[in-house]
Amino acid sequence: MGMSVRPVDLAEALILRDESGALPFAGGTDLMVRHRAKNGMGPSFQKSLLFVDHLPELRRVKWDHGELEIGAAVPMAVLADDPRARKDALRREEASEEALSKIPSLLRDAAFDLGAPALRTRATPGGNVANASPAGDVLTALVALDARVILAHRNGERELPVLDFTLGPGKTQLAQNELIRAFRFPVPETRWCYWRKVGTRRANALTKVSLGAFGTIQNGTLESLSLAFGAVGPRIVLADDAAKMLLGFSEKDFESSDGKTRMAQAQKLAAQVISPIDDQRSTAHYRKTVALNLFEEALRALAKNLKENTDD
Amino acid sequence: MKSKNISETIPRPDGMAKATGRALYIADLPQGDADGRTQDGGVPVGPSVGLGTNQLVGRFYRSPHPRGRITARRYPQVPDGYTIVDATHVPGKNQIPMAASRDLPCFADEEVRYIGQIVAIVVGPDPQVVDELVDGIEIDVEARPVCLNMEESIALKGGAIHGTDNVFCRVDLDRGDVDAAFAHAATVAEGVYDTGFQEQFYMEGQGLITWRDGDRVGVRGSMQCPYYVNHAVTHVLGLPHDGVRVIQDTVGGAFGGKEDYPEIMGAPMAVASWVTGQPVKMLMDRVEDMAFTSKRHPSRCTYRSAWDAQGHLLAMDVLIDIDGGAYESYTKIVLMRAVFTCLGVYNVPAFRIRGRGLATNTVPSGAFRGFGAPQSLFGLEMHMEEAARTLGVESLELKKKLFLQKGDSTITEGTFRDTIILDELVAEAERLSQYSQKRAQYPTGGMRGIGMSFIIHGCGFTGDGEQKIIKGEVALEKDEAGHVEILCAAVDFGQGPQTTFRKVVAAVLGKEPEEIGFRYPDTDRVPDSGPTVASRTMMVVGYLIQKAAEDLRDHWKEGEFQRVEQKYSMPPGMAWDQEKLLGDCYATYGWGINVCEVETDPVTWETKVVGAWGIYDVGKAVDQRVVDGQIQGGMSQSLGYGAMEKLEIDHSGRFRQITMSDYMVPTSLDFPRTEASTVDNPYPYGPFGAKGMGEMVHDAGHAAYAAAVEQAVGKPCPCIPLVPETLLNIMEEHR
Repeated sequence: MGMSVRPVDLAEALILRDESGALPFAGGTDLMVRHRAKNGMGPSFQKSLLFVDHLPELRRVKWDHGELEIGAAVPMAVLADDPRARKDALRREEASEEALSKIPSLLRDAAFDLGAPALRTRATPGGNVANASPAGDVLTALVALDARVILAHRNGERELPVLDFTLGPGKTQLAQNELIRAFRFPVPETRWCYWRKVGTRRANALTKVSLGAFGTIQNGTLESLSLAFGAVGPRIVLADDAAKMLLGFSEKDFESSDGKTRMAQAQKLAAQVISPIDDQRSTAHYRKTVALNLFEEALRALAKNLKENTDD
Repeated sequence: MKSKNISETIPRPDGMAKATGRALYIADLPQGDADGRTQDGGVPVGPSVGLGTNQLVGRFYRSPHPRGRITARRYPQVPDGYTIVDATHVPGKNQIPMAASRDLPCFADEEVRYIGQIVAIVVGPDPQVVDELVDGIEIDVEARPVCLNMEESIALKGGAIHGTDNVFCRVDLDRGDVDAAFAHAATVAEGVYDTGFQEQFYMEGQGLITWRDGDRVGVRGSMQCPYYVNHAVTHVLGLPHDGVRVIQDTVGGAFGGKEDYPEIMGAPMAVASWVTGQPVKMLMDRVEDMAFTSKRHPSRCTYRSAWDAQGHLLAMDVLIDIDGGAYESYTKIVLMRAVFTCLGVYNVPAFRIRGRGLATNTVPSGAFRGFGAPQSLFGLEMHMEEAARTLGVESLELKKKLFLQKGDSTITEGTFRDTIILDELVAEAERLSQYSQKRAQYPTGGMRGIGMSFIIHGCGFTGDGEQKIIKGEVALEKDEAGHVEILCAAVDFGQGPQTTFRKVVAAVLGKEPEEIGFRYPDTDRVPDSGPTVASRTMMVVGYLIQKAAEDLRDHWKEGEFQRVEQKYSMPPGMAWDQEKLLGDCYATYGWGINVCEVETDPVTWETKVVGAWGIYDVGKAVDQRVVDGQIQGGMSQSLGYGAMEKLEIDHSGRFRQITMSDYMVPTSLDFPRTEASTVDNPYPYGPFGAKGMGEMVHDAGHAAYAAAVEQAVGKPCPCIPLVPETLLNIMEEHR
């Protein structure tokens, strides 16, 4: 193992990253497991470590012109609305009440479903995305939210969609000289969220299949929709064709025969992009069946939401 | 003792040290510690033997091949200070002796039978170097087809692993004319019921230190049965019994998983200490522990029952197969308990029971809380549900008519001599859970259900094992100042003897429990009171302790050293024929009822437990909180077994779920707190009336759960664990 460094700020971190290519280490909740050694020995890292969990530039939650920016090293506990973590973030002036209030329920619930309380004080969205596991809950939520990842290097920044950033389990487009600084996404006033994780148990569980859905509603009709399935392929699966079938839906479409035809078509289109595997946690058959059940459940929730808004 | 009621809870003497982290487990013991402490915050501290600075790290080289004759071994160059020890170094017999078998070799010699079988141990000062040496070892085998499960075992895939038929052992019982009963039956119910592997998942992994002291060797660490370890090491090293010293250190959970494994692990380590003359320490990594230590025997029970036109039970025809894995080890004793428990709390007029322990190329199955009873009680209780559906009656009504009564014959033609209070237990279960009302109220297939299961658990060793095999002995010593110390081999691995034994002695002598000494067992100091297994510790050893305390009280001499001893003898009237398996298979029985209420989600086929109830006859609780702790933990463990704890094997017989993120042991969020109740029914030959109870709390929670799911989904659920994937398949098969 090489040298481990703890830079004072992002600028220094980026210089060190550029010069050494050291492995960024935020909460360590994935890295410590991946690099664990046998009993009686410390973890075995081949590379130098670059600690980034404390960098102020990576710990901010900002509300800016209708967009929310979430720092890569914001503890999951803050996103999950843990009262102690939230208080801590406010006290350190890493977040404002307003910014925290804008965190959509989709992201909050996904963060809450991750691990257990202790783990959520360490785990970060930057790590969840960098790990690029298709079972990453916050990664799935960020994809559903159409978030962009902001990648910093010593001479500037670039942005790309979170889904494009991930290439497969453990693989991303992160360059040797870059760090994930933050995630940005718009949070419209009239929004609809759905999140459901099917895990192996109720806490400290890995995801067998999940669905994060995010829509915007204008005058009682669905204006935009994204459907992100977790753990049904090597990357998060966005069922865009299925979502398109449902654009313009209003309350009555869920009952009409035309609407029902479109929903059935949408489900078929979703089924076409879902290709899960058998592994030690679940079966391909279960994952596919339940993914489509979650899709139906999401539509029922959407119908209910449109109905309730229309009733207002 | 101040309180008159022995059940009244006292603070656990070892509680604070364990809760605050002050208790020293084997992994915590500092090298060279020799400060002579015997107690730290209520937790005994072992002597400093084996902790020298010349201590070596040990790691096993385990077979990467599942099955075949070993044709070659290639060992790497070994640097100074490092040693590879294998079967050629064994000075005594190269076999691990267990209660009913000695087929498991200490080191694989001529053949390997499962991936992970111990072939050699590498010891040396630097763990990194030891690891590299382990990685440099290779063996070649003449490979044979791998036999993965009981079906392949019966079909003799790749030829027999054991004997000529792969059957390690059989236990058969018969009563009456079963064929005639089935010929005349108005209704026959039939079903096949499967249970899977289960990992004990003790919090503290396996860990031991061995050392050599002249012509003696020692073993210390995390274990349930110091004298079993003593016996195994004696056998392997060819030493006399007093040539081996075994010391228990603080144990962080066991559940049966530290009954056989400390012998399997400790004997090769002791050989390494014998060869090198140095202490050897081994702490099992969690993944290694989960991948290669003994698990619960998987089972397949086939039940057929014959009923007359009035719905009376005529006979049962039962086949019980359990998967023993690659070596017999404890399979016969597990099978005996599975068979002896397989008619549950019911009086069955005629039966034919055939039990088999089968060989496969998987990790040898071993001891696990319940020891065969959770398997056959699952088969039986699920079959009673099936029979009730076939007969069109409510399962509880069917069961109630068959309840055993005092004076009835046991399954082995012995006699139930103690009062049986099943009716009282049912009334208590109904009062707490409103079972019958809910059962009638929930429509079948309405995604909500409630189930009830019944438990019988024979306390102590099977048959005359306590008298013929164990021959338990305890002693009490009083010093001149009047301090009394308990001397026995019983281990506290969380289940409470450090608390309850002190209470028993204190209550007899009119002292306070904290005044009574009770150090961790050291075979140089304590008599062999037997292993800490089989729901025997409180009832059998605790009773000997009570008798010894009464003896001491009656002959108390102020200012003098005194030692009193007690030896086990069978309760009057008890008789057993081990050849014919006839007589009283257990001295007495614990009884219980589990109720479980569930909601199933048809979107994901996940099932939520919304209520769990446990009602037990434990004789008399010697400490209510200790008993309640067992009830809570046992229920979680059995619900985990029934609902979550999937443990599969791959194409070569390896376990697929060997990490904490893949093997789903329940968390505190998965199940609600169990509403628990105990009903007093004192047993005359237990301390203050106590009977065994540590295992029966894990015997049938899974059956109540599966019965509840059956009502919720409206389909038979004859296999556990009922993970959502399995439930989805059941729903699709029966669509």
